[in-house]
Amino acid sequence: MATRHIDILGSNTLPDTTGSVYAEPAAVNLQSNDRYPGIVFVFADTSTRLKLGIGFEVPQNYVGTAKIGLLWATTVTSGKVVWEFDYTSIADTESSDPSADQESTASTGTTVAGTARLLKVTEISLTSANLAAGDWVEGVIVRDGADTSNDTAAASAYLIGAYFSYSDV
Amino acid sequence: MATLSAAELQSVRNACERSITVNYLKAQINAAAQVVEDFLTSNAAQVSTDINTATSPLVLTNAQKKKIVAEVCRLKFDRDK
Repeated sequence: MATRHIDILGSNTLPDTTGSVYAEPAAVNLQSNDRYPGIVFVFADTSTRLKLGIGFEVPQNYVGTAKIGLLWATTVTSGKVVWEFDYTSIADTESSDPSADQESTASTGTTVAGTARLLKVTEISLTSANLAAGDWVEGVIVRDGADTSNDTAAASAYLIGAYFSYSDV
Repeated sequence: MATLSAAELQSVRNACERSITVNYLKAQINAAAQVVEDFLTSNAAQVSTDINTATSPLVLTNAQKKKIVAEVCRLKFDRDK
């Protein structure tokens, strides 16, 4: 049994309608050396719950230990960012139009790296039994600015990448 | 004193984070912004009176005074940074 990762950002990735989650070139604010052009997803500093929609298929060799991994950075050196993940795992013949989350993870915030622009990896554990090989997972990556007691970082968080982590057969 | 709304505070925070390293918390910059708001509110009448004295007998409209104050502040703080 080994730990596997698959990327989950791609053609299904879509920001919510707040205007406070958006894709921008990393060179705009996150990076200054601009050595490797690329896109990051900005989660602005707000007092609202921001969402980035994603979708992925659970791999055929999935067994358990399901997690969502977020690779992110910020220009703020103090405070915390509240990252969460809401999702529904959909099996063949189940509704592909869910009306509620199967699971909405909770968080009390992740302390920022302490130095601007350091890569930070945050993993969010899911209820492994909710997922099965071949399921289609629809979900949202959340920065919960509405959690004002925990999301205290006064700057945007830049999502650089995201993955689904699991153990295989 | 006018109290800055949550949306106004967010606007200040979003404007201040660009292209700099941020070493403060939301609550701290919110408090700083409110102090500036309070200062400007407290001193608005005096600034208006001083402009009237400078331009006498002409009296500029409040809209004109606001534009002048805003532009001079922008120039001053751009120059001082």
